Amino acid sequence: MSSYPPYKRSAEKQPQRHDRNTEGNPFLRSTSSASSVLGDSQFSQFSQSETSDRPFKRTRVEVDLPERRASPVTPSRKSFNFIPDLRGLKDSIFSQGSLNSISSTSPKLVKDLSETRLKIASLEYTKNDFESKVARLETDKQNLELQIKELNLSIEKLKGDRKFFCDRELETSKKLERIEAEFSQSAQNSARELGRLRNEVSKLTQELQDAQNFNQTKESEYNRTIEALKSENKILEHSLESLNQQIQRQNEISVSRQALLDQVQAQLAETQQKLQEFYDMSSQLDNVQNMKKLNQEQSEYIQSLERTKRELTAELKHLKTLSPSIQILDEKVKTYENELSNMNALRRKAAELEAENAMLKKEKVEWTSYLDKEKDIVNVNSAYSLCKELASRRIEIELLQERGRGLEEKIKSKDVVIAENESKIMQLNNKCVAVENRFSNELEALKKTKMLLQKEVEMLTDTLKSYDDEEKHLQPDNYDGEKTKIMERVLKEYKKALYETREGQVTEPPDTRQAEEPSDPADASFHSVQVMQQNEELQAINFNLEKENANLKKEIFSLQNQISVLEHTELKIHSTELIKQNDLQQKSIRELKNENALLKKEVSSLDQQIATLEQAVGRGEYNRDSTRLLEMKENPSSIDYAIRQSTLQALKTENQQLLEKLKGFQLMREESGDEDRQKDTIDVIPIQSFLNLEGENKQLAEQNAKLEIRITRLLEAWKAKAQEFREAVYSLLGYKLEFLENGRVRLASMYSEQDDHSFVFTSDDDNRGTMQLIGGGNAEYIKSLDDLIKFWVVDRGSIPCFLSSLTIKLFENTTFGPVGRDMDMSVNSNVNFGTSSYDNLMSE
Amino acid sequence: MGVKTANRSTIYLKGSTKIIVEFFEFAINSILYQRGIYFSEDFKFVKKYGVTLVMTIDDSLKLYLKRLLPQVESWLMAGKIQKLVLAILDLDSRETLERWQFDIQVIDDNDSSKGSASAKKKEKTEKQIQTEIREIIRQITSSITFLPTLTDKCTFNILAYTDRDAEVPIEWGDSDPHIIENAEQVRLRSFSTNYHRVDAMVSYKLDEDL
Repeated sequence: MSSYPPYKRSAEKQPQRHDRNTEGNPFLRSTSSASSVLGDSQFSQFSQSETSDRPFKRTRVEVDLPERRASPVTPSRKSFNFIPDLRGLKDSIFSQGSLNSISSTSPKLVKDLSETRLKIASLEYTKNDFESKVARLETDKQNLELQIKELNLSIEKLKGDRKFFCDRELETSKKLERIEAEFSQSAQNSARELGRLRNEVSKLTQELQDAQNFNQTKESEYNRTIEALKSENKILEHSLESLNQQIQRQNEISVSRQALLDQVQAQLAETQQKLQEFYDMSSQLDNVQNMKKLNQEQSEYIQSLERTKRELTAELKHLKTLSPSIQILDEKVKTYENELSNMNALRRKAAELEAENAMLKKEKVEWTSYLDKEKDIVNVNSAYSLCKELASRRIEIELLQERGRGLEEKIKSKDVVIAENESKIMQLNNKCVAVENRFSNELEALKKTKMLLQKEVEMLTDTLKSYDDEEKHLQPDNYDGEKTKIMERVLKEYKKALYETREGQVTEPPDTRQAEEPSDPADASFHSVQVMQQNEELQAINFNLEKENANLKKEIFSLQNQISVLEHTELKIHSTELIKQNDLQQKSIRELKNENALLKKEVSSLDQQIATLEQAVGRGEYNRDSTRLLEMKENPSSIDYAIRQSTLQALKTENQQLLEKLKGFQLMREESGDEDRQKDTIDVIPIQSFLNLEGENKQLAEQNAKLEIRITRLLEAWKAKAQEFREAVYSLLGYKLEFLENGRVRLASMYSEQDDHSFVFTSDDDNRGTMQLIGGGNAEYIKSLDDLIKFWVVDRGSIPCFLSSLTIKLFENTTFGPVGRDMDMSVNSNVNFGTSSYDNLMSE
Repeated sequence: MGVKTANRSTIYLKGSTKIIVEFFEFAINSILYQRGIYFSEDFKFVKKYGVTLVMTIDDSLKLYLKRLLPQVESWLMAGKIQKLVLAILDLDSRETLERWQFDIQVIDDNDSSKGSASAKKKEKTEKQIQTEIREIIRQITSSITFLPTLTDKCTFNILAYTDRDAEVPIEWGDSDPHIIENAEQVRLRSFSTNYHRVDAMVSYKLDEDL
């Protein structure tokens, strides 16, 4: 089995393989085909057993193969195969049991026995089962044996076949040998023949070559003759053509001659006719002469026409030469037309302005006429001065009004003062009246007292009289008549005096004291003295009162005087002064106000003027008399303009040249009418366009140079910025960044101990800038940081945290202290950085 | 005494002229930079007047200014220049779009000897002048906020308003005044040295659409 693995695998391919082999050498066909038949039969047998993958069957075949040689059918041996196992099992059980019986007690044995019996029973049951299975298997086996028989039969048949084929093969081999012999013989013969034939062939080829050579020479000869003939033919054709042409020409000539003849004949006829006519006309010689004259005139006229024609053609030529200038003139005319239109616009504007001006003049005339009428206004020459005057007048009016208002106010204040004074007077009058009243009251009281005193006096006189009477009666001796008479007289005097006082309170009784002295009676009694005293007192009081009254009156008078004086002084002296002052001040105020208003006006007008002037200055106007406006002849704008102008000029010349060329082509076409020639020549480039292109090229080169300068500047700026950025990152974050190719970045810490202690990061596949840690400059270094990497990068996915923690770790480890390593951003790395990034930039 | 003052005054005049020409150079550069007449890459940054200013590195522009400014200086020394105008023109239509005008006034010598106010001016230090100049240049820089944007490609020209009797070199010629129609103007700050006073002003073409 194991010796056939290749066949097993390529069982189906086998015939093809044989075919291939047979194709290799055809002579081995018969033998190999025979063996292949055999092999095929065997393989088919094995392959049949193998294609069914059941192992059971395979073992069976393995078992069956030797069995088939010994005896065809042996069913009992199979069952026997199973029984010894059971027996052995039984024996083992029993032997166990006997061993147990020796060693252990009887009940245990019985128990074991029963168990073993049960086991036996179960085993027997299984045995039966197995037997039934065996029976089933035997039936299967029988079936299989039947199949085997069939197969054996077929094998035998195939063996027969094989034999037959072997015989045939032998035969065929024999035949083949025979044939081979024959073939070899024939081959030899054929080889011989071949040699002969080859010789023959070589001979023949030689012959052929000779013949060919001969042929070729012949051919070339023929060709030559043919060519000669052809040339002859051509010559002949040419001659023929020329002859034909001659003939044609002759024909033409003959035709023309004929035509001439015809013409001549016609002319003859005409002349004959004319002759006839002349004959006819000869009678009218005058007419003929006239005709001659006319003819002469006409010829002269024709001559003149020809002359003019010549002149015109000359002129035309001249004009033709002038034709480009005409174009220029056209251009000029166009520009002039434009200018003309501008002029028209200006004229329109001017007309408008004139109309406006006229209107303004009219207005002015109106104004001036009005001003003429108004004779009182002088020195008004312009609207400005008029306005000024008007403004000043207005201001004056305003001031006057204001002044009037001030005066009114003043009057009002004066009125108030007067009212105050009046009230004062009234008060004083009242006071006066009150004083008078008081005095009158006092007077009345005094009168009453006087009356009382008179009554008293009367009563006293009565009493005196009574006393007198008494004395007269009682003591007539002692009675002094004179005494009473004196007393009466005194009394009368008193009375008189009193009366007087009553009559004229104002006038003081001048002789009260005189009256008093005589009032003392010679034989003055106590009462009379008292009365006199009282009287004296009263008179004194009266006097005092009168005095007081007079004083008061005086006072009133003086007050009145004072009031009047005050009024006068206040109203006259003081007020005049004030008024004067006021007037002066108001005058000055008025003047100042006037001035102020005028100045304000002037300021505003000046402001306006300033604004307009400033506007003009802002627009760029200037005084042409005093100022000269200069610019450098070569300034940027003129240069720019010159460039435009020069390009325009170049284009114009180019255009002209092209037009000329086109004109030439057109003329050529008109002359030749050949379109192909024109096509050939139309691709020629005019020299000016070439020059233009060259100029453009130069400009572009300059532009390019400028752009390059810009790019380099940008690059430098960028480089500087990048360096700055890196330095900033280094100083802020403590890592030196180095940009490598393919978007990788190398980081080296500020506190790393060695230069190769670095990390390399790479960006994502899609270059988004998301970084991944992919390695470092030193494998050991990376290994030493495995814990950190695992903690931060792997578990938490944070590179910044990893870097930060590393920075702290390294800082703690480092011997450099807080200073850190110097940043090695040398030129080398820098340049590398710059260029690589620049390349990236460019590629992007 | 008279000679001494004359000497002093010429020294002052020279110094003042120098300051003004320097100011013109920086102002012109700033305007050209701010208004985008040249690319911003054509300028480098320099520190001046206490601020960062721009200075061109374009060769043609440098050459132009190198030839222009000395003449301005000589006119200033002679007192013949009235104003200097930087006009910005549209390249295609040749229309004047902006005028940056610098009026130059010579402070009268007699006045300065009379008035006490001008005596104060005499005391004007370089620092004060620089501060004033800085303010003007700041205004120029900030003026781009209100000036209309220049959409088309533009070029510029510098005009000098001189007295009639001023000496004119051969490379200078009469110019048209580059008048702006429908102009709007903004007066900028001014600065003065001891001898000159410079008033700055910008006028520009109003946008017709507005």
